[in-house]
Amino acid sequence: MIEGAEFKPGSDEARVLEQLRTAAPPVAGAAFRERLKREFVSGEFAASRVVALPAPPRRHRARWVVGFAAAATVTIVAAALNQPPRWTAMPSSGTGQVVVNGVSLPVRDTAELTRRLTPGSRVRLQGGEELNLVSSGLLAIQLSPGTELILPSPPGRWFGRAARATVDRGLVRLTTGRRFGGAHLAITTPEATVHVTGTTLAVIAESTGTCVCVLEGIAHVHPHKGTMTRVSPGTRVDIARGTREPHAGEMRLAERPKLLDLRDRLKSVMN
Amino acid sequence: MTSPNRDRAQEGDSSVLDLAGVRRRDPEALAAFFEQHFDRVYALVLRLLGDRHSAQDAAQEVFLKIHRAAHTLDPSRDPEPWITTIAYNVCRDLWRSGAYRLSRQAASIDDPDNGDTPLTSRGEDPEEALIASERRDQVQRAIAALNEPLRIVIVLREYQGWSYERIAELTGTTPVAARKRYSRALAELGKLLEKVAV
Repeated sequence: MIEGAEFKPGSDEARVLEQLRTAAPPVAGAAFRERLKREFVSGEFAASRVVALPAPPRRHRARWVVGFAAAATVTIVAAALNQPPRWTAMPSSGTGQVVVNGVSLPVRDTAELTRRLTPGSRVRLQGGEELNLVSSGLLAIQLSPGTELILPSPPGRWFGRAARATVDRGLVRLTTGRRFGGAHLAITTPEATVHVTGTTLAVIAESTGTCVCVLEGIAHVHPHKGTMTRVSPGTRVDIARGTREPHAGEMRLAERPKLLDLRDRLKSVMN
Repeated sequence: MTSPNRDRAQEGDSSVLDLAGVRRRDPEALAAFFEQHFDRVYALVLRLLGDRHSAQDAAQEVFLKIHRAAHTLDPSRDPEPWITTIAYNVCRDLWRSGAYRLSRQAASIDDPDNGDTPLTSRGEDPEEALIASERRDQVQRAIAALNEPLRIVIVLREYQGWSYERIAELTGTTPVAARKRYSRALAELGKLLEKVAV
């Protein structure tokens, strides 16, 4: 309590207080006093010489409001500019169907597919043709027939540069674009998580396990119950279902031409 | 050391005042109200503002505002805090006005008195009155030389008898800050009083 804690002046302060308290109070002149009393009693005051000031502008508050508005604007603009290009379905001549979040669409209907393919969409490809999806400058994904995955959000331009996809089954080939540098994509399969930081690779989720084939760059495969393995260009790693340790080897022969084709064809479209 | 005092010589008893009459703006009640509060209001604004011209203007403004707001007066409560708040707000408006700052630059508190203050009261020894007047002026000069936040605290605490909590509420600070200002004000006043005494 402030009042409870009595102020204990030192000798200097006591001397000052003594001077303050013993000084006679100022007294107004009698003429002024009488004039003001007359005015107060009658209610008829002479013109006031004190200029009534308007309420002072709330500069601090205004500064805060302006600062907050500027920060909000910058945040909104940055968030808008940070948005990655959306997924675009590339033209396909196939006759299959794509199920996007439970809605079945013809593979040929690229406009409707593009409209419905949002990050986080569950996509299942039915039919005999592959489906190519591109996020301009960042990522190109090729889905093989029978593949089911949850579509990743392409990494943002400056922040939110980590993306996550899930491949439940099937084969996904992926190549990164020039604007992917510094970003990170994690692809989860039933057996492992594949960490991609810039590469061309295939992730195959089969009933027997997961196989990762790397054409270019480096990928890291982390089995759900084991230690992380680095996968170099031209090699593959297999994680058999129910095992802990990955198995390394040469990349599947069938994947090399497919990945080369993906890289050459989609990179030119993507970049 | 005694506790913070009020201007006891000027202190009156509000209970004898017809505050209901003041609310009705009854001339007799207004006259009695004026007699009871004028000296304290004048002393307060003079101590806060530091010069007589500004104090007269401020006192006039205070009583004008009291007259205008008389109908809001609560007869069951001591009007002193209400009056002090009005006086403080008038002084604060003056401090913020450019005209006041200019007048402070142009006129020193060392200016000779404008003659409206009686040097002696009836029956008072002229020499004692002169010494008392000199001492009062020295104290007033020292208070006027304080910066405004310190001056407010010292005047409200020492001459109005306000608590730190009440001062903090009026000035928009905390009781602890008000107490620190009071302590700093005393330290500065000590130096200033030594200086003006020389």
